[in-house]
Amino acid sequence: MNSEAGEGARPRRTIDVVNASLKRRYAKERRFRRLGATAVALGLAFVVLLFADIILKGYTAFQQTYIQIPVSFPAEAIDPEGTRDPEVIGDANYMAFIREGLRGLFPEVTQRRDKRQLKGLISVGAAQLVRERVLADPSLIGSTQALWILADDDIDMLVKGHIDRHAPEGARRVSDQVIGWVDRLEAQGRVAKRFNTIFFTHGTSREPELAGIAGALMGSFYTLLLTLILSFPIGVGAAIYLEEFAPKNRWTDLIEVNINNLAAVPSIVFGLLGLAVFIGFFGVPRSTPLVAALVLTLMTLPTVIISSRAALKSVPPSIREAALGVGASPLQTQLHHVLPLAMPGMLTGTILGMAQALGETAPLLMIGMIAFIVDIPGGFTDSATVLPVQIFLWADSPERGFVERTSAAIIVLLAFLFVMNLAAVLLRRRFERRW
Amino acid sequence: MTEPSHPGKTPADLTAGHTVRRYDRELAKLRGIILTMGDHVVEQTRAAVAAVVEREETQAFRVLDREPQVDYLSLDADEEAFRVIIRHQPTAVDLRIVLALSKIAAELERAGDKAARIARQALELAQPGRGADLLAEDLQVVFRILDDEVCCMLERSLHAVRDFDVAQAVEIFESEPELQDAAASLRQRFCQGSQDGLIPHQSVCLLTSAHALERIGNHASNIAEQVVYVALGQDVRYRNREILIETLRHHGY
Amino acid sequence: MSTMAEVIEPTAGTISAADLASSQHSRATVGDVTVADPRMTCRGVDVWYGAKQAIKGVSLDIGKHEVVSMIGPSGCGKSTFLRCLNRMNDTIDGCRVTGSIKLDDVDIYDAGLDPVPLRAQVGMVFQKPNPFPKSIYENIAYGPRIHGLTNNKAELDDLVETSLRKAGLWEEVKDRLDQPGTGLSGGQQQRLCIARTIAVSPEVILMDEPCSALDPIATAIIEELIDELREHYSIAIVTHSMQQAARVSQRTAYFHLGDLIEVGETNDIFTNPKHKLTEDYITGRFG
Repeated sequence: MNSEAGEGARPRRTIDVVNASLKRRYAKERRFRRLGATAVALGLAFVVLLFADIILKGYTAFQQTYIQIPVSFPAEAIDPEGTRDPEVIGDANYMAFIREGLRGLFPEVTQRRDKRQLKGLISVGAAQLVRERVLADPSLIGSTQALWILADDDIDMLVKGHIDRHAPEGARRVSDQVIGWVDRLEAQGRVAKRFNTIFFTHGTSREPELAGIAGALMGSFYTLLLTLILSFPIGVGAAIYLEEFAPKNRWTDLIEVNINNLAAVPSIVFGLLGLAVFIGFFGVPRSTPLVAALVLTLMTLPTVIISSRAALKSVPPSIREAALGVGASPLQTQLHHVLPLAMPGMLTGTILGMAQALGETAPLLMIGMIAFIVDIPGGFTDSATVLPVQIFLWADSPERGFVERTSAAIIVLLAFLFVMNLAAVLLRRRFERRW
Repeated sequence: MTEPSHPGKTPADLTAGHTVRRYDRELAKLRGIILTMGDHVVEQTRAAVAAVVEREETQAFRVLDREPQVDYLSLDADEEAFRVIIRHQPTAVDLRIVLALSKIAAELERAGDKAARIARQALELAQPGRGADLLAEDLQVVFRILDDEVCCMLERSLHAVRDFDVAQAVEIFESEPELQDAAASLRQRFCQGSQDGLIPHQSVCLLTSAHALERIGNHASNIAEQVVYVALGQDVRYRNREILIETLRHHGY
Repeated sequence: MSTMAEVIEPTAGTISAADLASSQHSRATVGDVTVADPRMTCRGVDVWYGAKQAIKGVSLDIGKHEVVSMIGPSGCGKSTFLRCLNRMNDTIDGCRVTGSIKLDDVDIYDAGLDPVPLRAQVGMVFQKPNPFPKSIYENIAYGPRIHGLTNNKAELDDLVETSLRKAGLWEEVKDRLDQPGTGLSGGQQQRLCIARTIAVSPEVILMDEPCSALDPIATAIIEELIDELREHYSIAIVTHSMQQAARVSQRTAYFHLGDLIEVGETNDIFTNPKHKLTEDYITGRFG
């Protein structure tokens, strides 16, 4: 007893104190780790949810319903003189041939109202597609072909099961009669879902089955290309000048503060600026990739400059000293040594800026990119729209067919972003050097 | 420079002031060994001379017994000097201190040998049937004068070593003529003939003792030279003494 | 008598209060700053970083075929002074240099003088080995290439080999010239940097603590190299290692708070420094 009391009276050794608190410290650490893991898991769950939602909604858009109809191309109606002149061939009324074939499948339909409904099975764009086919292969003229004809978006939705057959007839877009026809066609094996090439080769359209993202994709491509061409050299140049050459005084401080502030300016402001300056003052044609690129360049420049400066700062000064020490001029030092080392960082920053520009909608709305443009742009000065704006437009459309197309467009946009980020990573790898 | 320094006035401890305080301690320890050695040598010299003058055999034996102590101390001093060199790579004044103390240890060791030699002469003198029992009164006096002179120089040189004090060193240089005078008068005394009843063997022993004693005084001078080397960084060995003394005095030492 | 008078000239200007108070003014340097055969002559060099004076009226010659070492506590201005000699200080904002620094009678701070060719004449080796992140060959070839020192590939190959040989690195790297210079060991990297410097055939080589990042064996190899290079070049070396200064240099300059306190033969400085501050520093009594 006595000896124990003596032990207790002795001042505690540091290690005892440490051991006593050790348990608490480890518990704290475990809690912190669990908290972190939870946060990450939550984030991942949301991402998975988002992707799952988009993909589930959108994947059906990559398929399109076609109806097989025997279509005859009477030579006397298409090309009576047998000249095979494309203009003559193009002028023929192909819709009439398709309707003819369709009526052949449903000989019992005679009523005018039913005929119109029957006609509604087929997309209004079907005639154009058939015309193109015949133009590509004039030997079809005079023959009868079992052609797969693009179905109307309502039929598409019905086949994909997006229309509830048990709903009262008035509440759905297709009548019982049409459902009956479609079922009959399906039983005959005349309905098929095929890969939706139209989605990738056509511009937008009022008709969901004819709407594609090619226009928006090309618009985005031209816009981004021009933005890259403009913002990368300007941004890197500005960064190099500010970081390496500019004297450090009140003016450069002011510029630095402004660049940092500019990065935080809401993007719509850049749109207003573009509208006022580029379109209003310089007369750049509106809703073109050119003006969009100018506006997006303004918007991404701060990002590019800031990340480029950070990349330059991360280049060890010893490399500059080494180059100057062997007699390289300041510009040679930058071009031969600093820039190659800073390049991965600059590229990363630029591609992040590009990704931001790719997803940007608001400023483009201000400069007319919201216009409904069916044609696929062929250059920087053609009217165009871009992916996010297209998504915005489709999301706003009432047709059921646009819902899945919106999601599909989002998938394409995300894929685009993914490819860009992948490119960034690969470029980094390629340029990265040890020092 | 308003106040030029006068290092001669109150010399600071040259071994002190290192950032690494252990360096201070090790240098001080080395110097302590040297000073202990010096004290031993002074004691030995006094005892040996007393043995010669007073014919005390026991004193002589004691001197011979204690002689290895000085040798061992000199080994210690060398070891300590090596240690300082290895640990601290001394430079400038520290380097001079280590080198000089090492040399001073050698000087003291040789001075200790000389004291032993005097003691051995005392034993020779004391062997029975070798003429007069005691030295003549006046011979004793001259011997004592030389002894005092030598021991005074030696002690002063040790003081000089303690503070690396140039002023003390200069005084040693100044007292060299007195040493020479005392030694000369002793030799003179022998040249006058052996009316004291000394047999030639005894005379040789006494002369050898006197010579050894004078050499101890020379060792003291050498120690003083090393002190000047430490304090001023100039090797003053083999220089004209008068000019040296004059120059040092001129600089206020 | 005259020798004696010089001989006993007392050690130490001890530092007095008045001296400290007037430290804005330059202190007179103890020892002879001139040499018989100077490559560079510096007279009354002041360096200002903004309002702060980093170097106060330093005068110092760097002779041909000699190694001058500069020692002193951190912040004493020795590196700053070294960087004046090839105008590396130009890259620092707010750095102002007055006084005259001449390389072979040409004032290097002359308004019309281009620092770029100057740096080819006065090469520099830095504290941390800093090879370019390129191949060993490119590291050496870069300088000659930008200055147009060679006419064709064969000449350039020769120059690369000679430079590497002079730096004692050829045997170690001749089989892997196309490999990155950053893959070498620290000591090899530093020798690569020295080879890179001598590839542009400078007259003076400045070394800013070239061995401070190296192990003792690599240091010894560099020191041996410095001794060999002395035949062809003037070398000024800043070092924190007093032993190194003692080993490699013929003359040593001690800097303290921007003043050049003392210059002298290295042997004299390390056995019998004249100034109290020098002695305190080299004997480890500083601070």
